[in-house]
Amino acid sequence: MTRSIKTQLSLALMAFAALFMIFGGWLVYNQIRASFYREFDERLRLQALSLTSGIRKERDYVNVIFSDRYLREFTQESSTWFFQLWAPEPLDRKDLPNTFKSNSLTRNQDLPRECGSLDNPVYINFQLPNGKPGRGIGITFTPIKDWSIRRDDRVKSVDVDMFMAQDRTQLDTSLRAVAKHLIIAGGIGLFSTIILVPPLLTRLLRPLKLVSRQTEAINADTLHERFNPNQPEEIRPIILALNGLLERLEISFVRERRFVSDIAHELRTPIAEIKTFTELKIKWPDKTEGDFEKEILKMIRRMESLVSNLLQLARMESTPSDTLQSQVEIQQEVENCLGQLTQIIESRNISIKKQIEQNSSLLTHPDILHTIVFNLLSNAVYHSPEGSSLKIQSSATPFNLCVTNPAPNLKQEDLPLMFDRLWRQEKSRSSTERHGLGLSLAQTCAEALGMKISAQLDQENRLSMTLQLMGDE
Amino acid sequence: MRVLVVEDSDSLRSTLSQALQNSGYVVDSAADGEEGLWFAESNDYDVVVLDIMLPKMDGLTVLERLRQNGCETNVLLLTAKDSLKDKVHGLQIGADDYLVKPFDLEELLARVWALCRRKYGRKDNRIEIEDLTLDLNARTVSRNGSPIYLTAREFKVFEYLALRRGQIVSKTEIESNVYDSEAELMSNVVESTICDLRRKLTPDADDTGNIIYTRRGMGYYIKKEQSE
Repeated sequence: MTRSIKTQLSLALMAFAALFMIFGGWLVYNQIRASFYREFDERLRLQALSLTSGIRKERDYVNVIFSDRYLREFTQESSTWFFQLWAPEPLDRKDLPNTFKSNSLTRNQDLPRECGSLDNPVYINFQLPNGKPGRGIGITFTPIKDWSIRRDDRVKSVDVDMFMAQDRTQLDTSLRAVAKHLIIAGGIGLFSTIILVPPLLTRLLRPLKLVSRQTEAINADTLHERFNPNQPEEIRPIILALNGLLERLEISFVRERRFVSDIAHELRTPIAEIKTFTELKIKWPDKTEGDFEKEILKMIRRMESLVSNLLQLARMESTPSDTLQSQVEIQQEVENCLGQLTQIIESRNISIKKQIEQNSSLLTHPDILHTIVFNLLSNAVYHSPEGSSLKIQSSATPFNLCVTNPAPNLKQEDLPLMFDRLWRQEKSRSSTERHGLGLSLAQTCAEALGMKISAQLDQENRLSMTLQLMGDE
Repeated sequence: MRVLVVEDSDSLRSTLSQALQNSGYVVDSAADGEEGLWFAESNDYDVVVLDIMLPKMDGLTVLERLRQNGCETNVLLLTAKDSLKDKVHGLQIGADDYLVKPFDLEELLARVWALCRRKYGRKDNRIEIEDLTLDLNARTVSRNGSPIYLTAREFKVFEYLALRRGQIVSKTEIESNVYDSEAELMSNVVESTICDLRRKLTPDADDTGNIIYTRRGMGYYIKKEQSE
């Protein structure tokens, strides 16, 4: 099952927040650590430099002149500061070895002899002889000659290695405290994210929920209602699409309702006729005028015609035409259809003008094409005023068959509705000969053959029905 | 009693007209709304049976025009539309009853008769005039239980006078309510029918007990009982 957008967004935001906290915390910790170490190292360097100032080159040794007053931290055994000097000559006194240690170091304790230049000293973390963590600076320098021998060129300068260290327990403690605070802050941030994100998302997604509720409430009676388009930018396209969908649904429902209502009328009226006529015959068998059987048969035929047309329409809509195609001569087809309509053409005194291209033919399903042409011509003949003229035009390439007839009562707004099932221009639906299914059937048949029928009404209120192959229009 | 049937279906119009005529009504019929409105405004009908979906002018418009023009004739709407909305709308604009197609002929006749009774302010089907009993439903007349045989036309005239008991009814009113508008009336047909009625309804040969009176130059009437 697909997880909700809220859940997905919550998880994504929480994952992002967690990553942000970890990475951000790590970055902040490193910055602080680097800053702490810079400060620590600078203090080491300054202390180391101050030590170098107390070391003088004497004639036979290197003298270490420390004033306890200034370097008190090195003189105590419990001090956190340490240093050690290495020189090629005795240090401090002529009778002493070449190495010198701070009082904080015992005789057996040594510091690492890793040194760099004054400009580029070596800093290392290591374990102090007392077992505590420490950090030290190693430099190699040349002690200045004592003022008493400064002019004696026979005394050569020597390089002295010095390594100075300090207990960094406090630094590590501070860094651990920083890390601890960062982890707590990150945890609070993550916890806040977990607590705040879901309700925040609920609030942000409220328009979607409202749309969802409104959509659930939509039924056949509320299709006229629309969603409020004043919504956040992300939802607006959905709202507009839904409103469009509702509009199309409403139009379809109105059409379906009209169709059902029309069907009801088409069937109820003949049923009412048959029923009342039969009841009349039963109640007053001797007083009833008219031929009972003929009247009933007429009404039944009308219903049969309606049902037959509806079934044909349903068949054409639900199943594609079979592929039994053959070459159909258009002129011959038109003549056949007109032949079937001769009686009504003569009784209504309709004149026909034909402009059909000679030998024009079409490879198609002949029966379905016949249904289309017959319905187009029949519609034109029945609905033209008596004594009017009807025009039939056809060309071969591209194929087109156009039937034009005067339609004085037709309006432009009727054109989109003409192909609806059971549509009639006369709202009373009084005619017992026409059901309003012909054009709908013709259009459905045309679609089955890959064709289309379009209707146009000119300024003189002449209706032109044009049958064309799809893509040629 | 006079009924107008406005229905565009030829077959249904003809059937309804025959059924109503056979039930003793004088029936006029129209095939479209405009003709129906003209008939309804030109004559005094007891009931108009009006289809809704009509050519030229729909039934609801006909009904609205009739009510706007002050016509209070009872109207029975007849239609294939059966939704509650349609029914309520029809009744709201002034219809007195509503019947959905297909309907039972008996029901239609009963409803038309109920509307007629409503017009004359009656709730039962029997009218007692002295020792005469007029059964409007069975279309019979009897005196103390003994039947008196009347022709259809005589019954219609007697029924009309009985329904309007206490009022003077002119010869023209009788003609328009008892005879079809298309029928060619002989000049003395009403007088002749009244004469026949008096003969059949008066028990004594010396005309004592006559119940249909003549007001010269005005018309005929049946006396209203003191208690009524």
